[in-house]
Amino acid sequence: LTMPAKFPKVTVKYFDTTARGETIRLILVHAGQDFKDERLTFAEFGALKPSLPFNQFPVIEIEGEGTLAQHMTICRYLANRHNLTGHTLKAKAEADESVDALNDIVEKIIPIFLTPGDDAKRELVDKALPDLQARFKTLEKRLESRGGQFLAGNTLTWADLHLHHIVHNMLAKCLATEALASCPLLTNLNERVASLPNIKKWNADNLNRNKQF
Amino acid sequence: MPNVKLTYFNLRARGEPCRLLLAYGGIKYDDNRIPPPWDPTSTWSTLKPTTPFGQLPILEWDGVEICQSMACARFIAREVGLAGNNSLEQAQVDEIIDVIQDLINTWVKFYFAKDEAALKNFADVTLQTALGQLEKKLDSRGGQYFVGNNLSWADLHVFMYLGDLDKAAYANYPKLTSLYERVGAVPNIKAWVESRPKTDL
Repeated sequence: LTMPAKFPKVTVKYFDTTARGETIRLILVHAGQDFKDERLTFAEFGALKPSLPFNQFPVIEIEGEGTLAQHMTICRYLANRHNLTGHTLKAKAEADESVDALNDIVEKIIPIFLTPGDDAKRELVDKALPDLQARFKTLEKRLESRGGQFLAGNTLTWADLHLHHIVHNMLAKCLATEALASCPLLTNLNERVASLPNIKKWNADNLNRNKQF
Repeated sequence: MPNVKLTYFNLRARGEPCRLLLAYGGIKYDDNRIPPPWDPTSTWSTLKPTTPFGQLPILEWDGVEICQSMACARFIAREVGLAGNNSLEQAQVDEIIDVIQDLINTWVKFYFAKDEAALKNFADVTLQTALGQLEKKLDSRGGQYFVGNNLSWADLHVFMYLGDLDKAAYANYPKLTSLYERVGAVPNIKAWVESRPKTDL
């Protein structure tokens, strides 16, 4: 079995935000893949909506292969394509479990993320913080039980990239980074993902993007 | 959890590849250290004839003895998922290992011969040439890791080798420098480097 030298080129279609699109981008960025990063306005999305497989964003277009929808499916497909799902069945399951747990947390963060204004965000965060801290603490214990270095298979997987997106983009934008207060392993893991050269450059280059919401 | 014992001299040298891999994999083991042969308290002269090939390290893994430092390390690398994910990647890992081993083996000959001129030429020419080649290879693989754009034994081995050099030796190679820092930040590697016995070699 040998890896193909080139993969079909991917166009990512999403809004100009991180939310449910960024982990897709991070997987492609980490894999060093040139991809088309299309960011559409609400009006442009509205025009495109009827033609989308499930009338939703994000979607990706894979050169020569067609369109793929559903955020997690897109992530998992690209992660499998680019050696980011671990090397065993068990590791893949561990990655999926971690992502599912993270998505449970994302559902609690999304309403805060979408609320305009720092004061309104702060008020919602204060109410949600004990619950968020407890949920991250549970994930911290799971990480510890897996050896403490990575969320799945003791190797970098898309679960770690998803964690980084949630902490770096969503928690930060919601002013809720104290959600990781008692989680030294998750904090360290997030920092190590942030220091990966491609991710580091992407984050620095995109400091002034993601303005839509 | 496997039952593991590593017997080697109280040196990093040819035992450290195994120790770094075991640390990464979170595998507890008996780190059985013998005073080096030049140490008057060493038991090596009595131990040597009892060993399969008259050499160390010897890895004992669930009751099975394995000799030859690279065979032991490659085995542990496979066990902890760092050997490369398919046949081609395994070859790419081995390529980097062999480059580093060539450097180590060349240097060791000059060191024990106390050949100062050869050691100087090694540092100024041989080493710098090899580091430039390694930097270029790392760059050709995407610049983040040597094989498969993910951590492998190749990165651990380069980390081990750079750690034994002055920082100045690789200061001109930014990708190698970044790799060194990032591997060093992996929790179990960081903890092992901080806690391991400090020895000259």
